[in-house]
Amino acid sequence: MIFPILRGFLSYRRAPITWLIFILNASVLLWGWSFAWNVNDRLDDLMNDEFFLQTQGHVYENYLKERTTLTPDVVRELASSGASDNQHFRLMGHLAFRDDEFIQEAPKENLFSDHVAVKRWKSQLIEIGELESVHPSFLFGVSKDPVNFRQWVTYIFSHTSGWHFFGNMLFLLIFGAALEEVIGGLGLMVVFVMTGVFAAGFFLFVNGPTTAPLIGASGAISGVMAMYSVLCWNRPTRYVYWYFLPTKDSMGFVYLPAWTILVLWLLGDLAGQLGNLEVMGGVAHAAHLGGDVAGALSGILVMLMWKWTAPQRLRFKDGFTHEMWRLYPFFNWYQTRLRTLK
Amino acid sequence: MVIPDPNWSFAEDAQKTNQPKPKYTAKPIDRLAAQVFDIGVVIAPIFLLATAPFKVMLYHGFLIENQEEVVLASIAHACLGVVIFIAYHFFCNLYFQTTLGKHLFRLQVVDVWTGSPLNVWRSLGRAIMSALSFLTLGLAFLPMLSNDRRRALADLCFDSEVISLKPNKGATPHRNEKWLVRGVYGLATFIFLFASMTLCRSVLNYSANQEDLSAWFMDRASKCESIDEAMSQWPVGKDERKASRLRVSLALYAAGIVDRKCLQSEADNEASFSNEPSSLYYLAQSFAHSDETDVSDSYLKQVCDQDAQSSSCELSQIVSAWSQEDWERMDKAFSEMQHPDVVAAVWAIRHFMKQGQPEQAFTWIKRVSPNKALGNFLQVQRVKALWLMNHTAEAQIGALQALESLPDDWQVDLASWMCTQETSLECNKNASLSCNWLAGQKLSAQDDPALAVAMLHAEECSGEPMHYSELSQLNTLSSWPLLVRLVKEEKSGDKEFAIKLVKKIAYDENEPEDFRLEAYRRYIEMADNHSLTKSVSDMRELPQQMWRELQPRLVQELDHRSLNRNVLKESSGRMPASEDQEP
Repeated sequence: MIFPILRGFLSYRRAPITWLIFILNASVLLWGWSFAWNVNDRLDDLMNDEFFLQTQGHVYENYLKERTTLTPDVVRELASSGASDNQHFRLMGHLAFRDDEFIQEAPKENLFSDHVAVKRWKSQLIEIGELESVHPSFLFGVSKDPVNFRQWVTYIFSHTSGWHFFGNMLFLLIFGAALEEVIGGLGLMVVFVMTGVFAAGFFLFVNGPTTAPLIGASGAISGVMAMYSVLCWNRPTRYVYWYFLPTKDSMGFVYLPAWTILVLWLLGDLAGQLGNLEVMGGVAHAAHLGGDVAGALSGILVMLMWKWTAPQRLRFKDGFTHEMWRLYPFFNWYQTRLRTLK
Repeated sequence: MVIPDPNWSFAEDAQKTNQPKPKYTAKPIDRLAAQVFDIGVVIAPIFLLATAPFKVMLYHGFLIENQEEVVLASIAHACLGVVIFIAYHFFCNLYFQTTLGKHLFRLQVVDVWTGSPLNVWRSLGRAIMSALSFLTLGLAFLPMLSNDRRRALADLCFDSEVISLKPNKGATPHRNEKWLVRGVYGLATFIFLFASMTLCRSVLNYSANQEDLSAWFMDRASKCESIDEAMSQWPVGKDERKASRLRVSLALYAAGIVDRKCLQSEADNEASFSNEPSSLYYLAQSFAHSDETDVSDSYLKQVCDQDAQSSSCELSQIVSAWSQEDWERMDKAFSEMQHPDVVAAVWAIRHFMKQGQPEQAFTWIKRVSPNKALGNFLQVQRVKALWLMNHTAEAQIGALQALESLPDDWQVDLASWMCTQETSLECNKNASLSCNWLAGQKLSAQDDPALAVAMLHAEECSGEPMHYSELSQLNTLSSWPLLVRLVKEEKSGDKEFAIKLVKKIAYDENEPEDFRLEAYRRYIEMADNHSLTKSVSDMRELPQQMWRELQPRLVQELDHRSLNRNVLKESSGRMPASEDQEP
């Protein structure tokens, strides 16, 4: 396992805004859990109910026979494959959730002749709709309504699960703190939100409106990582490696230039985006790519600003050069600290 | 241990220091770290990007179940992985003498004799051999732990070695490492020989039993194909019309020939091809969803809404009564049925056999016969009904014929049932042909309580000493060893303990019916007169089928002890005609 660890987690005093963003995300997650625990369980039960999924599969297949909507080719191929086993209809049922037009239109029409199944499916679909309307992922996430700009910001602060939150926050605490030391707290907050918004826009541009909501801070964090890589282009960055052997040497650090982070992440996200079937869902690589691009552009912009304004160079005790100290007007204590260090 | 080599020097370093820089043998752990780094940081991202289009192809193939596409995409993944690995190592070793990972750990790949960079062919050969080494599950890297210069197989083949530019401790292999390598090679050789022998044996067995295997595969593959077969064998009705495919599926499901998945698949087919599904479709769906009560009930309710005059509607009411365990209503419904079709007949046979009314069941069997597709089911039920109707000789002849002609599953079902019945009345070596048939087969009763009981009977009545420890391994259910222990205690004369075991098994409604019945049968023999007459009323509370099975044994025992048979009448209030007429 290889992981860029940089300087590890910095303390609250050294990276207050990073920790503030972390606390904000954690609060939203906890609030969401306490609020939507039962909703989540019920929604899971409904959306994974065999009978419901199979009926939805039947209805969706009949729906696709009659329509020529913008459904992905693979779904059309699947619908016309002639398979009639339960697994096929279950899969079709799952795919149907991603077709917003179907979810809106199909219940109004009579697309399947099994009255019992259709009646039950419609009632469950209504219940799913009601549950989704109060579910945090759908409240905060970017989904069907692309011009709901409030969601373009709120999605950054909400997560689906503990693991999703843990993964994103690990990167935030490492890279956010490192970037905060370079551009300051206000700068980090601005970059975090703006790259997040750009990531949402890019995601919608690439994928279009989606029934599965986009949530999580990963787009914004990609932006933070990209900006750090651009600003500290050649600075040696610490990676930790560990190959799970019970020996003394099985764990250690190596140093690579910071640009490797951007290249690796871009390659990973590009591979993910190109290698992902549209209908499969999963990780929103397009949002990551959007974040990467926004972060890299912001980094270039800041570097140009440095060049034009020729800022006063400050030096910390550890030799760390601070370029953007002017971005800290709201933190007097931080400026005081800078002066003492100077 | 560090191995300095005074003859070795790097040109640049030598110029700077004017002293030859020593070379050190690279530590395996550093080489592993370098490899992990190369794969994780360089090769994996390039591989992911290069294979992205094939990943889409793979997902696509999986989704639409296109095997060709899946295989092609998998091969492309494997080929690209190997090519990227080889190309990366080849170019890096050729031009830089090191890869990115090796550079970070200050390792270099050099010619083992001259210390110079590798030439094109050796660099390429080494890269290919390194890639192939992964196919040996790492065994080709093990020489690194045994030879003094820590050269892996790729190094040994192409006269190369990996050196370290930093001093290393313990660079030459320790004695323990060499022993580890020998151990691993020994183990690998043993596993290889064992796997080869097993493979050879399987191939030989396969060629010997090719017919059996193909039959086995055919059986596995044709669970739903049995509906196709049944359709070709199904008799034409009085109206000169053939039964619909769904009706045949329902009849086969009722007879236990096809499973629920098959039935649902047939029902789904009908729904796909017709605009308005028939009442039979709803009936089929209610069976197909029998594990979800509310769904099944909704379908059942819809059957009569769809067509109140159909036989499906009548059958749906019967099924509804079955689920409520209203047996009298079922009896009445079957007798008053206006359009009894074959599906209803099969359910009627099953119902009346379950309820211990073989005469009624026999009437329905005659009504359905002949039907080749249901032949096995009807043959088995006929034999069972004849036996229960006390036509012992006919039943035994029928069983004998059936055991020669039926498929395996049906044979075992019938033989185990007959063996238990025959030996319950008379236990000696010649009492049961079915028991003798069972004894001649190598059958596993792990998941079949009825077969386990039959095999217990067969051994008990064989006249030879019983092997209790082997018998208790016959079935995996927890109560089975208790039943074997009960037989053992009964034989040894400890009746008090045996009766305790009986109560433990027989009174527990969660135990399999066959085990409970067997416990009751044993109890009838062991109990004293007072307890026996007293417990008759308890037995009468048992499900009808169990009571029906126990009755002959109970009557025999009461007669044997010269007890009044009226206790049966008093407790039951309902005695089958055949029992009353018994001399």
